Amino acid sequence: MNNPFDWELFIRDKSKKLFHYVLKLVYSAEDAEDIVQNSLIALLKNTHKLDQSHYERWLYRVAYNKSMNLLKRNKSILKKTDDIVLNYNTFTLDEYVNEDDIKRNMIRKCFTKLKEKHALALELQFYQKKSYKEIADIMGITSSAVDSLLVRAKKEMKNIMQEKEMKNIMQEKE
Amino acid sequence: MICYNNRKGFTMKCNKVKNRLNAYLDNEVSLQVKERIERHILTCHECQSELHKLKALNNQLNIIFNENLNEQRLCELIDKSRFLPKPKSKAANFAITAVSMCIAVIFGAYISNATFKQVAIENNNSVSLNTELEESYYDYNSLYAFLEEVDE
Repeated sequence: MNNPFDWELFIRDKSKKLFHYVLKLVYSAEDAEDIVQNSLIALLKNTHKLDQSHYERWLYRVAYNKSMNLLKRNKSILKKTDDIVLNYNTFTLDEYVNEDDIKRNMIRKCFTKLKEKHALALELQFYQKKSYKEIADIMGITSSAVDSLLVRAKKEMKNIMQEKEMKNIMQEKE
Repeated sequence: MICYNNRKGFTMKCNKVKNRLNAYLDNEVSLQVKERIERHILTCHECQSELHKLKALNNQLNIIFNENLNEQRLCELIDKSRFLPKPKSKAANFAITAVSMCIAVIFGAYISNATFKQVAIENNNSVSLNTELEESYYDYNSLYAFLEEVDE
Protein backbone atom coordinates (compact mmCIF):
# COMPACT_ATOMS: atom_id res chain seq x y z
CA MET A 1 0.00 0.00 0.00
CA ASN A 2 1.20 3.51 -0.81
CA ASN A 3 1.53 5.94 2.06
CA PRO A 4 -0.99 8.80 1.85
CA PHE A 5 0.57 12.06 0.70
CA ASP A 6 1.22 14.48 3.60
CA TRP A 7 -0.50 17.62 2.35
CA GLU A 8 -0.01 19.65 5.52
CA LEU A 9 3.76 19.26 5.42
CA PHE A 10 3.83 19.92 1.66
CA ILE A 11 1.77 23.10 1.90
CA ARG A 12 3.66 24.45 4.91
CA ASP A 13 7.01 23.72 3.29
CA LYS A 14 6.38 24.93 -0.25
CA SER A 15 4.05 27.88 0.25
CA LYS A 16 6.70 30.15 1.79
CA LYS A 17 9.18 29.39 -0.99
CA LEU A 18 6.48 29.91 -3.60
CA PHE A 19 5.50 33.18 -1.95
CA HIS A 20 9.04 34.53 -2.15
CA TYR A 21 9.24 33.45 -5.80
CA VAL A 22 6.00 35.24 -6.65
CA LEU A 23 7.16 38.34 -4.76
CA LYS A 24 9.88 38.72 -7.39
CA LEU A 25 7.26 38.80 -10.15
CA VAL A 26 4.46 40.81 -8.54
CA TYR A 27 4.64 44.17 -6.83
CA SER A 28 2.49 43.80 -3.72
CA ALA A 29 2.58 41.13 -1.04
CA GLU A 30 -1.21 40.77 -1.07
CA ASP A 31 -1.25 39.88 -4.76
CA ALA A 32 1.46 37.35 -4.10
CA GLU A 33 -0.59 35.79 -1.30
CA ASP A 34 -3.60 35.52 -3.61
CA ILE A 35 -1.55 33.86 -6.31
CA VAL A 36 -0.01 31.38 -3.88
CA GLN A 37 -3.43 30.44 -2.56
CA ASN A 38 -4.99 30.11 -6.01
CA SER A 39 -2.19 28.00 -7.38
CA LEU A 40 -2.34 25.69 -4.36
CA ILE A 41 -6.09 25.30 -4.85
CA ALA A 42 -5.49 24.52 -8.53
CA LEU A 43 -3.02 21.83 -7.48
CA LEU A 44 -5.49 20.33 -5.00
CA LYS A 45 -8.14 20.17 -7.72
CA ASN A 46 -5.87 18.52 -10.28
CA THR A 47 -4.03 16.00 -8.12
CA HIS A 48 -5.53 13.03 -9.96
CA LYS A 49 -3.96 14.17 -13.23
CA LEU A 50 -0.43 14.57 -11.85
CA ASP A 51 2.40 12.45 -10.58
CA GLN A 52 3.70 13.19 -7.07
CA SER A 53 7.16 14.07 -8.34
CA HIS A 54 5.74 16.78 -10.62
CA TYR A 55 3.76 18.65 -7.95
CA GLU A 56 6.42 21.25 -7.15
CA ARG A 57 7.36 21.98 -10.75
CA TRP A 58 3.69 22.27 -11.69
CA LEU A 59 3.08 24.64 -8.78
CA TYR A 60 5.89 26.97 -9.83
CA ARG A 61 4.68 27.03 -13.41
CA VAL A 62 1.08 27.80 -12.42
CA ALA A 63 2.24 30.58 -10.09
CA TYR A 64 4.38 32.10 -12.87
CA ASN A 65 1.52 32.03 -15.37
CA LYS A 66 -0.94 33.49 -12.89
CA SER A 67 1.38 36.33 -11.96
CA MET A 68 2.02 37.09 -15.65
CA ASN A 69 -1.74 37.24 -16.21
CA LEU A 70 -2.10 39.62 -13.28
CA LEU A 71 0.65 41.86 -14.65
CA LYS A 72 -1.05 41.98 -18.06
CA ARG A 73 -4.32 42.94 -16.39
CA ASN A 74 -2.73 45.66 -14.30
CA LYS A 75 -0.50 47.16 -16.96
CA SER A 76 -1.93 50.63 -16.58
CA ILE A 77 -1.48 50.52 -12.81
CA LEU A 78 2.06 49.25 -13.23
CA LYS A 79 3.01 52.23 -15.37
CA LYS A 80 1.93 54.58 -12.59
CA THR A 81 4.04 52.75 -10.02
CA ASP A 82 6.99 52.95 -12.41
CA ASP A 83 6.61 56.70 -12.49
CA ILE A 84 6.57 56.84 -8.71
CA VAL A 85 9.77 54.81 -8.50
CA LEU A 86 11.46 57.08 -11.04
CA ASN A 87 10.44 60.10 -9.02
CA TYR A 88 12.06 58.53 -6.00
CA ASN A 89 15.32 58.36 -7.93
CA THR A 90 15.32 62.09 -8.54
CA PHE A 91 14.82 62.95 -4.86
CA THR A 92 17.76 64.70 -3.31
CA LEU A 93 16.99 63.85 0.30
CA ASP A 94 18.36 60.51 1.36
CA GLU A 95 15.48 59.93 3.75
CA TYR A 96 13.04 59.15 0.99
CA VAL A 97 15.30 56.86 -0.96
CA ASN A 98 15.58 53.30 0.20
CA GLU A 99 18.27 51.74 -1.94
CA ASP A 100 17.09 48.22 -1.21
CA ASP A 101 13.63 49.10 -2.49
CA ILE A 102 15.06 50.35 -5.76
CA LYS A 103 17.14 47.20 -6.07
CA ARG A 104 14.08 45.05 -5.37
CA ASN A 105 12.06 46.83 -8.05
CA MET A 106 14.96 46.35 -10.45
CA ILE A 107 15.01 42.62 -9.74
CA ARG A 108 11.24 42.44 -10.18
CA LYS A 109 11.44 44.07 -13.59
CA CYS A 110 14.23 41.73 -14.66
CA PHE A 111 12.40 38.64 -13.42
CA THR A 112 9.24 39.53 -15.30
CA LYS A 113 11.24 39.84 -18.52
CA LEU A 114 13.10 36.55 -18.11
CA LYS A 115 11.84 33.28 -19.55
CA GLU A 116 9.99 31.05 -17.12
CA LYS A 117 12.67 28.38 -16.81
CA HIS A 118 15.43 30.96 -16.41
CA ALA A 119 13.54 32.73 -13.65
CA LEU A 120 12.80 29.47 -11.88
CA ALA A 121 16.41 28.28 -12.09
CA LEU A 122 17.71 31.59 -10.73
CA GLU A 123 15.16 31.55 -7.93
CA LEU A 124 15.99 28.00 -6.88
CA GLN A 125 19.73 28.43 -7.05
CA PHE A 126 20.08 31.94 -5.73
CA TYR A 127 17.36 32.50 -3.20
CA GLN A 128 16.57 28.98 -2.03
CA LYS A 129 20.25 27.95 -2.09
CA LYS A 130 19.64 24.58 -3.69
CA SER A 131 22.31 22.41 -5.25
CA TYR A 132 22.33 21.70 -8.97
CA LYS A 133 21.09 18.17 -8.37
CA GLU A 134 18.02 19.31 -6.42
CA ILE A 135 17.21 21.90 -9.09
CA ALA A 136 17.54 19.21 -11.75
CA ASP A 137 15.12 16.97 -9.83
CA ILE A 138 12.54 19.73 -9.52
CA MET A 139 12.80 20.92 -13.13
CA GLY A 140 13.10 17.47 -14.65
CA ILE A 141 16.42 18.02 -16.48
CA THR A 142 20.02 16.91 -15.99
CA SER A 143 22.43 18.78 -13.69
CA SER A 144 24.72 19.75 -16.58
CA ALA A 145 21.70 21.31 -18.29
CA VAL A 146 21.04 23.27 -15.08
CA ASP A 147 24.61 24.60 -15.25
CA SER A 148 24.23 25.92 -18.80
CA LEU A 149 20.73 27.19 -18.05
CA LEU A 150 22.05 29.27 -15.15
CA VAL A 151 24.85 30.71 -17.28
CA ARG A 152 22.33 31.75 -19.93
CA ALA A 153 19.95 33.15 -17.34
CA LYS A 154 22.65 35.29 -15.78
CA LYS A 155 23.70 36.58 -19.20
CA GLU A 156 20.12 37.60 -19.92
CA MET A 157 19.79 39.18 -16.49
CA LYS A 158 22.95 41.19 -17.11
CA ASN A 159 21.71 42.39 -20.51
CA ILE A 160 18.35 43.46 -19.09
CA MET A 161 20.02 45.31 -16.21
CA GLN A 162 22.33 47.14 -18.60
CA GLU A 163 19.39 48.15 -20.79
CA LYS A 164 17.54 49.47 -17.75
CA GLU A 165 20.57 51.45 -16.60
CA MET A 166 20.98 52.96 -20.06
CA LYS A 167 17.32 53.96 -20.09
CA ASN A 168 17.65 55.57 -16.67
CA ILE A 169 20.72 57.54 -17.77
CA MET A 170 18.92 58.73 -20.93
CA GLN A 171 15.93 59.86 -18.90
CA GLU A 172 18.15 61.73 -16.46
CA LYS A 173 19.81 63.56 -19.38
CA GLU A 174 16.46 64.60 -20.78
CA MET B 1 46.17 28.34 -25.85
CA ILE B 2 47.36 25.81 -23.28
CA CYS B 3 49.95 26.98 -20.78
CA TYR B 4 52.24 24.49 -19.09
CA ASN B 5 53.13 26.82 -16.29
CA ASN B 6 52.63 24.44 -13.40
CA ARG B 7 54.33 21.20 -12.44
CA LYS B 8 51.19 19.29 -11.45
CA GLY B 9 49.41 19.48 -14.79
CA PHE B 10 48.20 21.78 -17.51
CA THR B 11 45.77 24.58 -16.82
CA MET B 12 42.45 24.84 -18.67
CA LYS B 13 41.70 26.81 -21.80
CA CYS B 14 40.09 30.23 -21.42
CA ASN B 15 36.83 29.14 -23.07
CA LYS B 16 36.40 26.17 -20.76
CA VAL B 17 37.15 28.27 -17.69
CA LYS B 18 34.62 30.90 -18.71
CA ASN B 19 31.95 28.24 -19.11
CA ARG B 20 32.70 26.80 -15.68
CA LEU B 21 33.07 30.08 -13.75
CA ASN B 22 29.46 30.18 -12.69
CA ALA B 23 29.56 26.63 -11.36
CA TYR B 24 32.88 27.44 -9.66
CA LEU B 25 31.30 30.34 -7.79
CA ASP B 26 28.45 28.06 -6.71
CA ASN B 27 30.91 25.40 -5.49
CA GLU B 28 29.52 22.85 -7.92
CA VAL B 29 32.76 21.68 -9.59
CA SER B 30 35.00 18.79 -8.63
CA LEU B 31 38.20 19.45 -6.63
CA GLN B 32 40.42 18.78 -9.65
CA VAL B 33 38.58 21.28 -11.83
CA LYS B 34 38.54 23.80 -9.00
CA GLU B 35 42.33 23.64 -8.68
CA ARG B 36 42.76 24.01 -12.43
CA ILE B 37 40.45 27.03 -12.56
CA GLU B 38 42.26 28.71 -9.66
CA ARG B 39 45.60 28.11 -11.32
CA HIS B 40 44.31 29.59 -14.59
CA ILE B 41 42.81 32.63 -12.91
CA LEU B 42 46.13 33.51 -11.29
CA THR B 43 47.67 34.00 -14.71
CA CYS B 44 44.77 35.14 -16.94
CA HIS B 45 43.52 38.71 -16.56
CA GLU B 46 40.52 38.24 -18.84
CA CYS B 47 39.09 35.46 -16.70
CA GLN B 48 39.81 37.46 -13.56
CA SER B 49 37.70 40.35 -14.81
CA GLU B 50 34.98 37.92 -15.86
CA LEU B 51 34.97 36.46 -12.35
CA HIS B 52 34.71 39.92 -10.80
CA LYS B 53 31.79 40.79 -13.07
CA LEU B 54 29.98 37.61 -12.07
CA LYS B 55 30.60 38.33 -8.40
CA ALA B 56 29.25 41.86 -8.83
CA LEU B 57 26.10 40.49 -10.48
CA ASN B 58 25.66 38.00 -7.65
CA ASN B 59 25.97 40.83 -5.13
CA GLN B 60 23.35 42.83 -7.01
CA LEU B 61 20.94 39.92 -6.91
CA ASN B 62 21.56 39.19 -3.23
CA ILE B 63 18.67 41.01 -1.61
CA ILE B 64 16.36 39.62 1.00
CA PHE B 65 12.63 40.10 0.50
CA ASN B 66 11.27 40.87 3.95
CA GLU B 67 7.56 40.21 3.53
CA ASN B 68 6.10 37.17 5.25
CA LEU B 69 3.21 34.97 4.23
CA ASN B 70 -0.04 35.24 6.14
CA GLU B 71 -0.51 31.87 7.87
CA GLN B 72 -4.30 32.06 8.32
CA ARG B 73 -4.99 31.39 4.67
CA LEU B 74 -2.66 28.43 4.73
CA CYS B 75 -4.61 26.85 7.58
CA GLU B 76 -7.79 27.07 5.49
CA LEU B 77 -6.03 25.37 2.61
CA ILE B 78 -4.72 22.62 4.86
CA ASP B 79 -8.26 22.03 6.11
CA LYS B 80 -9.44 21.75 2.50
CA SER B 81 -6.72 19.26 1.66
CA ARG B 82 -8.02 16.87 4.33
CA PHE B 83 -11.25 16.31 2.42
CA LEU B 84 -9.69 15.59 -0.94
CA PRO B 85 -11.40 12.84 -2.94
CA LYS B 86 -9.20 9.80 -3.33
CA PRO B 87 -7.61 9.61 -6.77
CA LYS B 88 -8.91 6.76 -8.92
CA SER B 89 -6.43 4.05 -9.80
CA LYS B 90 -5.56 3.26 -13.43
CA ALA B 91 -7.31 -0.13 -13.24
CA ALA B 92 -10.55 1.52 -12.09
CA ASN B 93 -10.37 4.04 -14.92
CA PHE B 94 -9.77 1.23 -17.44
CA ALA B 95 -12.69 -0.78 -16.05
CA ILE B 96 -15.02 2.23 -16.25
CA THR B 97 -14.10 2.94 -19.86
CA ALA B 98 -14.42 -0.73 -20.84
CA VAL B 99 -17.87 -1.08 -19.26
CA SER B 100 -19.12 2.14 -20.89
CA MET B 101 -17.82 0.98 -24.28
CA CYS B 102 -19.63 -2.35 -23.91
CA ILE B 103 -22.86 -0.63 -22.95
CA ALA B 104 -22.53 1.71 -25.94
CA VAL B 105 -21.95 -1.21 -28.35
CA ILE B 106 -24.91 -3.22 -27.02
CA PHE B 107 -27.22 -0.21 -27.12
CA GLY B 108 -26.10 0.64 -30.66
CA ALA B 109 -26.71 -2.92 -31.79
CA TYR B 110 -30.19 -2.92 -30.24
CA ILE B 111 -31.14 0.35 -31.92
CA SER B 112 -29.78 -0.70 -35.32
CA ASN B 113 -31.61 -4.05 -35.06
CA ALA B 114 -34.91 -2.33 -34.33
CA THR B 115 -34.55 0.10 -37.24
CA PHE B 116 -33.50 -2.69 -39.64
CA LYS B 117 -36.56 -4.68 -38.66
CA GLN B 118 -38.80 -1.73 -39.50
CA VAL B 119 -37.05 -1.23 -42.83
CA ALA B 120 -37.42 -4.92 -43.60
CA ILE B 121 -41.14 -4.84 -42.83
CA GLU B 122 -41.60 -1.81 -45.09
CA ASN B 123 -39.64 -3.56 -47.84
CA ASN B 124 -41.75 -6.68 -47.49
CA ASN B 125 -44.91 -4.60 -47.80
CA SER B 126 -43.69 -2.97 -50.98
CA VAL B 127 -42.59 -6.33 -52.41
CA SER B 128 -46.00 -7.81 -51.76
CA LEU B 129 -47.65 -4.83 -53.43
CA ASN B 130 -45.43 -5.31 -56.49
CA THR B 131 -46.31 -8.97 -56.68
CA GLU B 132 -49.99 -8.13 -56.49
CA LEU B 133 -49.59 -5.65 -59.32
CA GLU B 134 -47.68 -8.17 -61.39
CA GLU B 135 -50.28 -10.79 -60.70
CA SER B 136 -53.05 -8.44 -61.75
CA TYR B 137 -50.99 -7.53 -64.84
CA TYR B 138 -50.69 -11.18 -65.74
CA ASP B 139 -54.37 -11.57 -65.02
CA TYR B 140 -55.15 -8.89 -67.54
CA ASN B 141 -52.80 -10.57 -69.99
CA SER B 142 -54.52 -13.81 -69.63
CA LEU B 143 -57.82 -12.02 -69.93
CA TYR B 144 -56.75 -10.44 -73.23
CA ALA B 145 -55.52 -13.76 -74.44
CA PHE B 146 -58.79 -15.29 -73.52
CA LEU B 147 -60.70 -12.52 -75.34
CA GLU B 148 -58.50 -12.91 -78.42
CA GLU B 149 -59.19 -16.62 -78.45
CA VAL B 150 -62.87 -15.87 -78.22
CA ASP B 151 -62.66 -13.44 -81.16
CA GLU B 152 -60.93 -16.02 -83.31
